[in-house]
Amino acid sequence: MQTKNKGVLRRIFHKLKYKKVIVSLNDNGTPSKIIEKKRSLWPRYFLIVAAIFGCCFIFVELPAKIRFDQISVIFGQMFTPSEFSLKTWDRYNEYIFATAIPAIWSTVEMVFIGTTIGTAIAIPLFLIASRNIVLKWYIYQPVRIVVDIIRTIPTYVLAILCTVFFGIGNTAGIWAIAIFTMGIMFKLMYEYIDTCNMNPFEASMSTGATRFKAARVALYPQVKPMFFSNFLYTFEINVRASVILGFVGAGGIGQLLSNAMDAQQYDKVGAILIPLFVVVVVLQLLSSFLRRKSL
Amino acid sequence: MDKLLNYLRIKNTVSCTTPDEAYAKRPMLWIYNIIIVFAFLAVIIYFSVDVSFMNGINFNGTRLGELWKGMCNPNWSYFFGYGEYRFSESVIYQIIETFSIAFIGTLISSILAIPFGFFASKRMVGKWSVISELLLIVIRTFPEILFGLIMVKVVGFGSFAGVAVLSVHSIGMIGKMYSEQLDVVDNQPLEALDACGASFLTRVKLGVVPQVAPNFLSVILYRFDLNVRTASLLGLVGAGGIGYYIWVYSSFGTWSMLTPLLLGVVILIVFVDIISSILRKKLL
Repeated sequence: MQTKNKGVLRRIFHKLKYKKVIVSLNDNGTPSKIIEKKRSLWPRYFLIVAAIFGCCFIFVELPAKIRFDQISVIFGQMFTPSEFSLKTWDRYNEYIFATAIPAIWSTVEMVFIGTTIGTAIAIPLFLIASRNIVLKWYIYQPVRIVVDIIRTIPTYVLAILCTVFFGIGNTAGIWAIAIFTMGIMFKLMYEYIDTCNMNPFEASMSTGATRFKAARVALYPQVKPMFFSNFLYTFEINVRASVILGFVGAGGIGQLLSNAMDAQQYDKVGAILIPLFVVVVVLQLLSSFLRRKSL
Repeated sequence: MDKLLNYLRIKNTVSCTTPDEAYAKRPMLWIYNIIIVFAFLAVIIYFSVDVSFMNGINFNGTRLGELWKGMCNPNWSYFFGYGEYRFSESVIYQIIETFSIAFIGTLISSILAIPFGFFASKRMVGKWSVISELLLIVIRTFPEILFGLIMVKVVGFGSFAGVAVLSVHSIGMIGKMYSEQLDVVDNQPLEALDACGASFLTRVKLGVVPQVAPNFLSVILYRFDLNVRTASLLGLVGAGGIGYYIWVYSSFGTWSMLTPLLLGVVILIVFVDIISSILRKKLL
């Protein structure tokens, strides 16, 4: 034992870190060789997580009672016309086709415009921020830091700030989506360009091409499929995120949802949810198909 | 006509003898690019008109001035919770509460997602995995803010509603990732264990867990990262966390109170982002 005279705490830590393992026994059954082996780290990690889990309950107060029956009540009201808002099935169907679907379509249009604008803003930024196009760290590092800070702002906060600038309406939502998209595209693209194969670039430089021409010939074909794939991916994310925009007054389908929810008209909520669900799934399938094709 | 078809690479009709001639008669593919760009622009313009983008915008000067003034004079006593504000009203408390909601929600959902992930993997249950996969898609696609509204009705206002939302909503993504990981488990250790005569639990413990544990943990960490953002959002509908106060002060236009809150959100997200990316790098 090397740690015999090194204080109590040391010894305790040593015992926590190592365990004794009997390697071989004598004929009479007493251990002849004992080695010290490092203990597994998993129990310790488990304890840390459990401690944080326990501490978290200081800040989360448990409810007095949970009314599980409300779940079935709300879901039941969602998919049958209630007597207070849409009285008959005809009006339920009419609400789906005349109100919900056009609103969802305009949301998709908003998301498409926003994604395009955001991508257009992101293109020069990620070109400046990629290490192998711009070689100077004092150019690419500040751009990365600034856009990474913008990227951390959640979508709904952006939407709130945009409603201050542009007033309540679709325009605020589109700009919120654009800024959000800019952050995602920026990050995905500069990380991809950093890992591009630079050998063709050097080869074309050695034939006498300028940096721009070399990038056009050697980097552009590598980046292009990834760019379209990321565009579709961001579009898909934005369609799902756009529901939030309406809750802060930035237009889109969320406006209808929050109005219906405030008035406790759950059947309208259900009538919006069904086509929304279909649109999201279809767009997801379409985008994953196109992405597989473009890569 | 043949020349045009050749230029557009529809039909190869021109024969060439020398490389220079072939180069002169190469297909003009940039025509397609121009067509695509113009079609894209037309679609964008049509959409912009349809949703009245940038239509009737009047920049409200006084409101912007108030925003700027408030942004320049943040209320620090609200941020740190001294002076007129108690600690339980401060932004720091809200940050910790949001963190707690995300942590508990992620932990519960990562445990709940194990059976979903198991039944959604084709490797484990065969063709019946479709049912669980569909269920996971439904959970994933359901907007979380609507789920928050329903949960507020079920468990009442407060942070526990946020925990309930996250622990159910995260199953969608975590379960899908679990099933993907389970699909690519290497069979050879399992066969070796079978040859030794191991029981089912031993096979799981020694053959499956060591293979999937790092990936599972990295999925959980990634989802925790996303859940912190969602937890900060759920306050909008009264399910606890920092979002409620952001919504209140932004609707009142009290920008000097909003600035510390926004700062708090950004600090929280950056902090969790860095921690989770460091841990994920260590895991993989």
